[in-house]
Amino acid sequence: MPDQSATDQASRDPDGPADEERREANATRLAALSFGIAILCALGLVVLYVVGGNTQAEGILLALSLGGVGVGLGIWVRVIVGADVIVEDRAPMPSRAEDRAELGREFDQTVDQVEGGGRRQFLLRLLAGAGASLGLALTVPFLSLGPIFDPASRRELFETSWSRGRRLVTLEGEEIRADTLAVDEIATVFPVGTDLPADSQAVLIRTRPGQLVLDTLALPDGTVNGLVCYSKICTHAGCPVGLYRAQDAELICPCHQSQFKVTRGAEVLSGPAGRPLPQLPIGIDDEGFLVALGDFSAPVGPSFWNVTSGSGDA
Amino acid sequence: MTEATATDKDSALDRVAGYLDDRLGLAAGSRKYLRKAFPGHWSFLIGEIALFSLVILLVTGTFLALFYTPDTNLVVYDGPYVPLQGQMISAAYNSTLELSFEVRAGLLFRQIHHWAALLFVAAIVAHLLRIFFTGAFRRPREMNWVVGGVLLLLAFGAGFTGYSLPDDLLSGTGLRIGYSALLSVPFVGPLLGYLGLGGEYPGVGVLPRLHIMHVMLIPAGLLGLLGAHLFMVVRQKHTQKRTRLAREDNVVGEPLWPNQALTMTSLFAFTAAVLAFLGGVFEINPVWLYGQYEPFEVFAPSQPDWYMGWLEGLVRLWPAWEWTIFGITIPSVFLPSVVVPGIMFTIMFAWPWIDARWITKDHAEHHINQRPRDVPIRTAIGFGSLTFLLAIWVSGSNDVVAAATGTPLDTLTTVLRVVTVFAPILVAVISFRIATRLNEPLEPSPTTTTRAAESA
Amino acid sequence: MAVSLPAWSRRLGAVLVAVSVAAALNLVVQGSADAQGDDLDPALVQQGENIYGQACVLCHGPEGTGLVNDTKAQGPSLIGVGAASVDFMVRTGRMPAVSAFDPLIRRESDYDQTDRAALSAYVTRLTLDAIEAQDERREAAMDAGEPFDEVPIEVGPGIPTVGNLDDTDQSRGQELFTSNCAACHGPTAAGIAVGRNDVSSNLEGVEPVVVAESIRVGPGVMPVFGDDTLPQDDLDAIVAWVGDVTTRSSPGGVAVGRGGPVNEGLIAWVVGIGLLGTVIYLLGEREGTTDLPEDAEDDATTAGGAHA
Repeated sequence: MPDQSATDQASRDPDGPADEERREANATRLAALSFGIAILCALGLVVLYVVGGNTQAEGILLALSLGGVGVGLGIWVRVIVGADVIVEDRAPMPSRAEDRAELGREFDQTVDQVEGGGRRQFLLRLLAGAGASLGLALTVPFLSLGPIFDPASRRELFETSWSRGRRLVTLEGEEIRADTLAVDEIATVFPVGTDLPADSQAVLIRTRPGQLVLDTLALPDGTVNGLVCYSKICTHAGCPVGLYRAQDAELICPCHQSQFKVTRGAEVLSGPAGRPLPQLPIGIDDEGFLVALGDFSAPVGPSFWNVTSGSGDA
Repeated sequence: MTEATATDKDSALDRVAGYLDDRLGLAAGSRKYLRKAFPGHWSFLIGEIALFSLVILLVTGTFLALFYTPDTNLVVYDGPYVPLQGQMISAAYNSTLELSFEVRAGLLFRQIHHWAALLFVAAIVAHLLRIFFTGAFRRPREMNWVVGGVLLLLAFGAGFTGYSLPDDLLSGTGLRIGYSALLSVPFVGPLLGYLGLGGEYPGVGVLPRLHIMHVMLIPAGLLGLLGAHLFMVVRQKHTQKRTRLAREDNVVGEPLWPNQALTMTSLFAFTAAVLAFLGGVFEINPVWLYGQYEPFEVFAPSQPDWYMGWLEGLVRLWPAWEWTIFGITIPSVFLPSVVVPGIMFTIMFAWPWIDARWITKDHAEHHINQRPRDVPIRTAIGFGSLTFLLAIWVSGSNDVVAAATGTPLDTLTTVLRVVTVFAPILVAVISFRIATRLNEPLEPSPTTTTRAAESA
Repeated sequence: MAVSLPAWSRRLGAVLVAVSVAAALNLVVQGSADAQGDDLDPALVQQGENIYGQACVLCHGPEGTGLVNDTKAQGPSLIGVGAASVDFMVRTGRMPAVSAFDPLIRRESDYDQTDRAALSAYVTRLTLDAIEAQDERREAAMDAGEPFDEVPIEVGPGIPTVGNLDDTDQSRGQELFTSNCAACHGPTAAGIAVGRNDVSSNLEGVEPVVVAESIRVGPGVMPVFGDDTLPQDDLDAIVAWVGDVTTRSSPGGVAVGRGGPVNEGLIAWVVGIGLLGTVIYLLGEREGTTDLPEDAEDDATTAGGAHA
């Protein structure tokens, strides 16, 4: 490969050879100093590690050691080695036309040797078919990753662990009475006797007296004494709707800021959520504890294609 | 031709080289490649920062992998971090805490690894911008542009799977949103979600799957495509800036040995030094403060790492458009998390062909780079797209920005929606004007002046 | 490697003071709830009335029932808010506000603890008066045989006590804080936008009793956490954890504002790309290879040299 040196040392350094030498000597000293620092810091790091370490000191020593190498090499290449400009030839990317033609001919010849005429086409198609079928057969086992052949699993998106008569419990597992929550209080609740299934999380909120607009609720009969219960899973992207603005009775999802009006059936006030939080109907059992009157008013969590029309029974 | 033979005068290095050459015959090829020319503009080193970050990611990641357990089974925490003692946490989170507090130098490695991930993607993006604005993707390098784009996507995937592994409250939140995006795909969403997680959220314990993707599949893809990326660079040789010496049929630069090799080694040391500094001095992802992930807990602000911020912002900005037609629902999260990013990346991948077909109408081979002003329309589209990305990226932190500036959250979101739609157009027009103005001769020619006077 | 463990010994110095103040105020106010006001110190109530007349009456009205539709000033009713609320608002300088549109944010307070006790006593007096007035109205209505719409009035929560914070279970505090508080205040209680123009408080340096008061009262948009769901031990655990997490040392280095990935991303770009950008600018710019052609307007090299 022909190359030519495009610069010559004399023209690059107008101050003369003496200055040049002094510059290089200084640079060499500086590079040596940098490498020296690198060695000391690296050894220091080993000692530090053995005696017990400290993240900040380790990081700084490592940075200084590596930085020393970087500075030393930088000085070396930029000052001591100096600029060296070469020019390399470049040919256009395509191969020469005759090479291409020759390759094509050789390839065709070798393929022709296999079999002649229409028979060859037939064989090739069968081979392609075998390849594709084998590919499919080898890909199919990836379906084992999910329970997609289990008919029961199809209902999972439409059902939760709540059912009629199931008591509400707090995260501490304590059952709740109608007067346990103060006005403006919020609690995360689960069905009693479960191991906190993610799809069953709900928020129980005691609204201010007379604030609930019952006819906006999906299940107007499912409230007790200003207490209303909604799914805690945002209908947008599934984050827990944990941020409650008690003064305005608004639930906000901390992830994408969808706002739900608690007193009006958790309708969406603003933000990207497309539907209200499903309501969990609640009542009081014989012993005065809060119970669910059934499952949520709609499938919980982020929407999916058949969220309104499907039931999972298909 | 006579064969080379070793003599007693040779140094140890010479003898090793001689031994290898005796068996592999490398001398001639090495001579050729050691004199390979590397064009010397500083921006050509941006991609190398990405390369070196990846090397550091692999080294630190290997160390972390020796201690991390991708296991969601619960254990009682009894490590030295008092505020979590006695809590039931997953074995995965436990091993992350162990790495942070008990493994010597573990926290340093963890933090360097995370900073390296942020820097890796940042350098890829900066590299991509350099390629875009100088037209370095033009024929014959269209394929390498696509490979680079796939590398960017793999980097996103590596980052997302990586920060999901510790099983802390923040990582689980990201996973929850990712699952919801999967679920939103019409007809096959629930199927995809079930396959991804092994059932309805939170599934059967997705950490082993994420782990194998993070430590095996994605790195394999990254390394394989990186090899292809670099092979194509060597095969096609570098593009170069237009200079006194540069022509379309040459490459002007410094030789691989010693100049470029020393420069690269120096830069590698500097990259590692900066990451060691960041990893030692700046706290990143303090998972011990966040606590174990529970599906019913969340905190604000919850943001992904910066390179997913644009997607988060798109999802935050998108209006509540959810339609049900003939019983089929298009969830509101589907368009911003699946369709729009799909369109964005399709345009990005197709750009070299779009550029040649409709913008420059130039299908010829090029090796000399352009200045942004040389193709004002491309530059305008580039800056417009950047503005769009910046706007949605800021939107991903709308709660942080609202708190910092004292702007009401809803107002800010509305403003950002307007900015996202109109600012890119404005910036594109301005950059087009600047680019065309820069192309005009410095001294206005008499004809231009006359024309201006006539129109005025 | 030595792990930087939480500064166990480091405790907010104000704890003991705050506890004793709270206890003192409780004696004054708590007792009044059942004893129909006879236990309220008349001198204290008088002092409270004076302060109320200067600082509060304009917005909350002479009877503490609030002004809602007044054009000049408006404020909510103070009937039944309780001593905890009064003490919280005045102690943290949120009240008295300059105008109704003043944001409820922490300021230096002009009132000392006696002033606050006096105000609390007076507001309790107003509440008891309101209860009495309602009783009279009910009797009058019953006498006249008219229906009566009773509004339940309670004295409201007294100033909560804060136990010995050194004895609390940190782990419990962390868990409770995460499940009850972090959604609005963030994992490290640094505060964040919580909808409309509200920002949850940064709890760093907030006195323990104030934290306890806000939990029981739910000031502003914050919800209430009553003692049925959050008993005294749990309250103490949360209060202690708030003091701990806001002052906790960061073993990883500079905590970059504990702002999460947003700050981390900015650092990666500014420090990471910034430093390395400088490095490659110094390292990568080589003489002779990048200088512009003498005639920069000559496009011959780009156009003419292209391979077809």
